[in-house]
Amino acid sequence: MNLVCAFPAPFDWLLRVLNAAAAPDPAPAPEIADEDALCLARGAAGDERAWQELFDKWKKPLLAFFYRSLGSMPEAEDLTLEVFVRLHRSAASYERRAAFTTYLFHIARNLLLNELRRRRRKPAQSLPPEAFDYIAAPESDDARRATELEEIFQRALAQLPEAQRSLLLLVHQQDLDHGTTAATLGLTANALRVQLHRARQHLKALMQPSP
Amino acid sequence: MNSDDSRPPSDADLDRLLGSKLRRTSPEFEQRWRELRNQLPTIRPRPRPRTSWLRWLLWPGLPTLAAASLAVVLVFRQRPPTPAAPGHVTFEELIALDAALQPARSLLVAENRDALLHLPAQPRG
Repeated sequence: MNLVCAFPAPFDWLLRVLNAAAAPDPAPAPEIADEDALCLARGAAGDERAWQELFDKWKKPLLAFFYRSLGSMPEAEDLTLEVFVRLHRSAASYERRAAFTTYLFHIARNLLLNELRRRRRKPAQSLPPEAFDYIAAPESDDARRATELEEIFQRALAQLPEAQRSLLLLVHQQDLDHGTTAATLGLTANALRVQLHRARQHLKALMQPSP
Repeated sequence: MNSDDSRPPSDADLDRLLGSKLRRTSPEFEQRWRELRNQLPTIRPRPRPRTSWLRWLLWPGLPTLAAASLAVVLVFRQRPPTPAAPGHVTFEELIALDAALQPARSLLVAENRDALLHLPAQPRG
């Protein structure tokens, strides 16, 4: 039953409620069998080793995501641990209808948005560039250039709008495929491609040396 | 900083920076995790949300809501103004009214009305 024309415009809200209540239950989506989701299910069942496995696998990606987003490692550590608390709380109700990474980064992004809302950004407490894996030999020209770029990069990231920054990090840092990223950020595939291009151009523009 | 350092980042630079992975975590962080892991079993899991409560609430509630809304509309809708009811008039009053209007009765005849309308009106000199 679809109640469309029976009500005048002021009763649209009632129409929507009636249609929502009349709609049949959506067919359950097929469960996605990924290794992490199974691990989470084990954790929910009380297997402590499962939590350690998830932590070992995801701690660095999450730390890097939060660090690049907030520019502060202590905050990144707090939020990473909080992700695991949230995961634990919701593990029993997790339904394997989306990829685990979508679920994980959905939690991570919500925490990030809360954090950004909660307080204004503090001055970044930058990590030394050696903390990341792209640095060449120390004391070389390449290393100096990398140090310089690291500072410029982190500063430019901080100036990007959160949506663009998260998009770039999920795709380029976390290597999530476009489908998973789109699901995490609530974008369509086409919108994601456009936004990704814009975000990259924006970041490059912010990294240009000032004249 | 030499002149090379101020050149704009290349696409390769950008890819490398965006794709950079963290090498290691701090011992303090690992220690905090171990403490948290020990506390995890004491953290209450969030109860599974019920999805069908809305329809159980809606179907008995909607007819009641509709009836209540209709009643409210009927009770509070604006009524059209009703003409004032004429008061009671006694027979004596009617007779008196007829007597008062008697001198003007001739005006009710159509012929007289027309004749009056065509009287030349002369201002008093």
